[in-house]
Amino acid sequence: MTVCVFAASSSRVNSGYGAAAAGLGSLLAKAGIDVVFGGGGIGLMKKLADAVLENGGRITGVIPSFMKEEGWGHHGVNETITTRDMSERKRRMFEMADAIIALPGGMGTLEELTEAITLKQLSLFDGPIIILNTLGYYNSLLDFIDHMIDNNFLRAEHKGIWEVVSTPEEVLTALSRKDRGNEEWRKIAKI
Amino acid sequence: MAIEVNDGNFEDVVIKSDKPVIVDFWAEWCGPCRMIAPIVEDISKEYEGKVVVAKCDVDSSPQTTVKYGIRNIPTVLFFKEGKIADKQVGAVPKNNFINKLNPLL
Repeated sequence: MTVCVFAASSSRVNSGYGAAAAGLGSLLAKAGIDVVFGGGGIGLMKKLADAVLENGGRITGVIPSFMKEEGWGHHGVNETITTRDMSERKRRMFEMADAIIALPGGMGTLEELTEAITLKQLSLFDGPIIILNTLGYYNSLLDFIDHMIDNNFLRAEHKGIWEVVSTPEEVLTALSRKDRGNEEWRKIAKI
Repeated sequence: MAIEVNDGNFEDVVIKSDKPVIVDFWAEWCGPCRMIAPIVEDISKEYEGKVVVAKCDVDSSPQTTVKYGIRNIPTVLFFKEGKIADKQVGAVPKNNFINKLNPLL
């Protein structure tokens, strides 16, 4: 199994976020789950990648050439895939992923997460999407999603597309769950 | 081209038709519906003159949707002489539709 992890490039965040990113990397490595990420050698991406590597896991970075040239890439990962631009980076990451995990992050992480949700809503991606809501970081986004539903911009049923968890351990539990209804999301929508 | 049907014209287009009719119940937000939309269009071309192919947007046709008990989409209903002859729920390969349609011709 390969999971794609989206996470912050910022290093200035509360250490609790870094600890959760590292905790997740360690658990994924120990579970023998391969990781694909944005290839960054900074922020939560670095915490995640370092922990995967320290625990004998396998991690692939997918990074646009301009970021690599800026020196933002992680140099220790097992494999680096260099892409032309941000769009190709995301596409490559989605293609490789059996599941998506979003850690706290800024605009880049947010657009990756919402694209994953949109793709699944359109049946163009069918794996689990797990939001690791460390320290309640995503609470106000989840409130906004309820606001979308209250105003009929989103259907309540679509909340089943993703799962929100609070700890790295719960991410592993969510990944191992069999009854995700993926098949159903692909073939039938309820009205 | 598939004909758009709704609560207003369902009776005239589907029930009173002298040809077999298939109705694809769908919605704009429904991913699986998009997957079968090209199949439904293909069938409308291949069976032109022999079968009426219709699409019913469940969000704008609540009465028809309730009347036929549509709870999951896509649902394709096969009508012959105004009555439901067969039904196919979910995004399935084209042959599933063809196999249900051919006996009605």
